[in-house]
Amino acid sequence: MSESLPSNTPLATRGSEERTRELPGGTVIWIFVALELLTFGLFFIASADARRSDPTIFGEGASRLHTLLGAINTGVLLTGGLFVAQAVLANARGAARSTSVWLWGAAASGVVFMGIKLYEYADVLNMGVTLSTNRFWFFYLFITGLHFLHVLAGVFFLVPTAWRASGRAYGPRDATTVEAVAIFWHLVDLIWVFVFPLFYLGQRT
Amino acid sequence: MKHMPERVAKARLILFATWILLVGLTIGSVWLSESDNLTSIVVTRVTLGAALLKGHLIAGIYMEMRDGPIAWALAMSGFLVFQTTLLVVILP
Repeated sequence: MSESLPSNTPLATRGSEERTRELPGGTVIWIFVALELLTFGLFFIASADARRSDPTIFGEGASRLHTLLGAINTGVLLTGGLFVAQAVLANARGAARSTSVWLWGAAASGVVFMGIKLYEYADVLNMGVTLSTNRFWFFYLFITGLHFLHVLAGVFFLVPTAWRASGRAYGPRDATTVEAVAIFWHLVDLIWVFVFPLFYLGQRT
Repeated sequence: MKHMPERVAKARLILFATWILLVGLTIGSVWLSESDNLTSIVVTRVTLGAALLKGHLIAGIYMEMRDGPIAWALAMSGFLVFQTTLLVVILP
């Protein structure tokens, strides 16, 4: 028996015969994703170029970072990514309460990430480090600070979406908002998976 | 068409398996970076390779690009490969 789904039904629950190759969340969020990836990509390249010019300063700076906390924060963000993906799936099957719970979980992961990051920043500032200390600390504070603002924005998007989801504001036929918020959160994940090895791993004095 | 519960169970399994892979790659990268037997250049290349793989898992499965428009999927994948290659070439 074949039963067609509306064109805006999330891809997660479609069968292979129903794939329509649409952009989940709409085109606008994907244009934003492209611009963000290009922007962060340029910062990554600039920091890599600075590290090539001065590997000693980068090695010394990296040795003062908490690799374990960076790894834990990576796990926290990836778990938040799993939660928003589950929220998209729950929304696709019309499970309003589950959608809301998963989104609240993702928002909580963002809060935990920011708490750990603030602890790291406090530690760095206690060492007397500022943006102008040297090029390692400039790039570390600038790039992770910009990423931190994205996590904060993600939490601000997730909270009202989770709140509205519990009131059945979304569903299988109105999935764009939940999908767009999920795409934004995955973008935050995607950027961090490159930030982590660039600053925390593989730099030796 | 498959029944919806069967699809949901399969989709959940894929999402969870992806998370396991992502976390596993992170733990593997940290373990490698702490190893005394490897040079900085090897660690940098392998951890960036792991980041590229993680990026593809996030973009392809979590962001659903594997089912998205081919042009967007190729652009995203191409950008990640280009960026990682450039970083590997630049970094000491």
